Amino acid sequence: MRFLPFLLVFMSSLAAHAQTAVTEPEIKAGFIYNLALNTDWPENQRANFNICLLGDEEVGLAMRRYDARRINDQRVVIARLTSMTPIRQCQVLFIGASEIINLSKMLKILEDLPVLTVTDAPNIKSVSMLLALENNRMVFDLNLDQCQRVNLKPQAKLLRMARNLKKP
Amino acid sequence: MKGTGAGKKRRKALFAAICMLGASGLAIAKKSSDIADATFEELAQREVVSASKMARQISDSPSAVAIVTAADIRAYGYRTLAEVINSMRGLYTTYDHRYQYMGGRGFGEPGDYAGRIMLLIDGYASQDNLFNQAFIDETGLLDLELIERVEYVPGTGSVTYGNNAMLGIINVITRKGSDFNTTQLSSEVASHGSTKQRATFGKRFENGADLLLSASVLDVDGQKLYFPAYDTPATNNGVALNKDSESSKRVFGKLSYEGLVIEGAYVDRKKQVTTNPARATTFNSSFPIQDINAFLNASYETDLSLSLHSVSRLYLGSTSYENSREFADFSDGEKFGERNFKGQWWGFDQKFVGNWFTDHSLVFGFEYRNDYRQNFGRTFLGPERQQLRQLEESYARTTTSFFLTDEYRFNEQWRLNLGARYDNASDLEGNVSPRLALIYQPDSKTVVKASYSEAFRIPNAYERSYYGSAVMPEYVAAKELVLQHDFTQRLRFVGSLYEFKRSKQLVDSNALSNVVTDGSSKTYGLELELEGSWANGVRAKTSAAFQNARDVTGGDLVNSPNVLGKLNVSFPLPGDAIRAGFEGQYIGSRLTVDRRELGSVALANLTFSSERKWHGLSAIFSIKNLFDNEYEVASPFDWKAAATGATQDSLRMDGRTYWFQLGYDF
Repeated sequence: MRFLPFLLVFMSSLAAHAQTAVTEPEIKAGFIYNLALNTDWPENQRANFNICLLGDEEVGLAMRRYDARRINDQRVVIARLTSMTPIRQCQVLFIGASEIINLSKMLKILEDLPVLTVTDAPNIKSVSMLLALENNRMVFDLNLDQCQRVNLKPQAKLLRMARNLKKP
Repeated sequence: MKGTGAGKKRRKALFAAICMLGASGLAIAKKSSDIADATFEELAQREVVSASKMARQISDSPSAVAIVTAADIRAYGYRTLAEVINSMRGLYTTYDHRYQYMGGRGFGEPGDYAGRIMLLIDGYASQDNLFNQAFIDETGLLDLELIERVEYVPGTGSVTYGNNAMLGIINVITRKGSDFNTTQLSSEVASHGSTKQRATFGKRFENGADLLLSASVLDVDGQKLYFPAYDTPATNNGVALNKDSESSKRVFGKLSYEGLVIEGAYVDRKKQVTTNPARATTFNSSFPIQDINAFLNASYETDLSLSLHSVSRLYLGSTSYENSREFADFSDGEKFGERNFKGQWWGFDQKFVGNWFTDHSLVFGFEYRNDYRQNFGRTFLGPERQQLRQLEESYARTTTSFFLTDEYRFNEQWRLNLGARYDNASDLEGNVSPRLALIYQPDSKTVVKASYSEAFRIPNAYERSYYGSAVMPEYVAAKELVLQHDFTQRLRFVGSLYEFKRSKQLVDSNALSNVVTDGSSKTYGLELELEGSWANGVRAKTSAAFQNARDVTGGDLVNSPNVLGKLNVSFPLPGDAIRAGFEGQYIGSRLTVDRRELGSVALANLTFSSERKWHGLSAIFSIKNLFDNEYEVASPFDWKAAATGATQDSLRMDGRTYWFQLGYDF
């Protein structure tokens, strides 16, 4: 009986320790936010900064906690899309694995608009930034060629942290 | 005194510990929201827990959903939706040699068809508009090779689907053309002279359009069944003279392009019924039936803005049922009877999802449905098959519905789902079906859902024809508590505790020599399930369901076993070329319509399927009822056999049967 309090404290500390690991959707949402935050955006008159998510409900839900933050001095709006109809309004477009099949179509719709395209589908070359898991840590590849094409400038921090850089 | 002091101390210590626990709990809660405040460098250092490897539910429902995937369909050799349903927690099916009927939480009475259940095919409600029957046997609209997954949502669904989504929803998702990406032929042979051929074409085109086309033909010679109730020399010692032959033709097509999906299906099933399924007919007289069902469904999904999504659906459906019978007593000159029932309907459904507020997801919209044709034709013929009398009854109904649901996430752990649907049928007063659900998700591994909901069912056209104005809508109020926990990424537990209270049920009234709608009944139960999927390819699932279902008299509900058990294990055999799938099913004892108890039964099925294609070839071999158990199920025939006066409240089912399918991909 005397040990019970200690046991409880021990268990709770265990629980607290276990909690330091985060889920895949949570970390992906965190990466998407930080990738956008550490990018220089071209001048525009918009009031909102639209982060659009297509084809991954889980990442979409995890992204909600970044709602109403500020990026590029604009208010972040999280848009969980079901179609590619409104993607020209996005500043960031995350394309989940289930929608990656339509990527070339989306790039055609976006033309050269300054939209940061991100995906977690493996071996995709034509997006600006690619998320991947490596040894249980999230990493990202930077496609500077694509970024330059749509007039986005990743800051030094991203260049430093990226796993791979594809230079123009 | 000393003891009390020590007790106090202990309590103090315990209290302190609980406080600390609470505080650390808060710290944890805070920590998880801290992810949003972590720097990029910190995030990159965090260890990531990969997501659960188990199938995720698609249906947005607070109940304990059961899922069967295309991989399961193959591994266990399922050929009909009935077999899929039979493998699911808390469910069973009953066959009367005409149709497969579904049973579960408080339903499954013989003769109930598969009513009070909704069968959705890619969101289209596929029941007919005469009996509200969901077709789950060879009358079903789909070949199982076309199914990506089947979700069973137990409990009420009127808040989303309105009428008839009373006791459960079967959600069928079909595959895409790109899943095949070829022309596939398959040929099957099975016991009782059964053969089936299927051709499927699937392709995804350069422009993103996806096409799936499929057709199949099933032909079963059948068998000569034995019926003890007719075991007299005059009636061929109870053996049917004709075989219960069956044939079925199916066509399915689906075209998707961006948000637009156009989909249609057609099925024509013919069967010889040798059970003597009507009171006025004699054993061993011919009784052929034919069921034709078809639908066309066009849906369009789009985003009207960044926070407003829209799904529009236009559907057309048609059903036809025909039978021919020979009457035992034709002293009135009428020797043959023919039934010709036809139903047609169309509807439009518009759903919006609004994500204007961060913590709220609003779903709202309307549906209009027009059951413009509900015809019951009966023709009576003389001994020379000359027409003597013809009866024609026609009904129609329009239903207008509005719905609104809000999912409010007050933080990362808690959400509240609140909704209601209003349905107004042209011949009845309007009805509101509410639902309230509270969902608690303390971490990514655990979900607790508590819900209260109400659902209703308006009398179907056949009931209106049969009982006239005596029939009225019936209702159910349901409470459910669900716990889902992932022990690991590969081991999941689901538990559910529920209670259904039904009211305004049909009851026979001796005083009025008709029926009245003042019956009520109660069902409660517990379901437990454990599911695992391991890296070495082993998949296993086992469940137990305990239920106590009462009828309107307060007695045990007919054909409702108190215990149901399921065990499914599939694993690759050495060499990884072939997968073995073993299935065990236990059905506890249950009552027949004559309130006779049928003993419990345990059945086993074994299937071998090729894991990979070999030069385009694939194969499945399945043995159903592996140990050749003799068993009976409750029948809907509540009258005594004229030949012997014996009851025929149960029917013998098949012993061991075999099935072999060979597939070829071009």
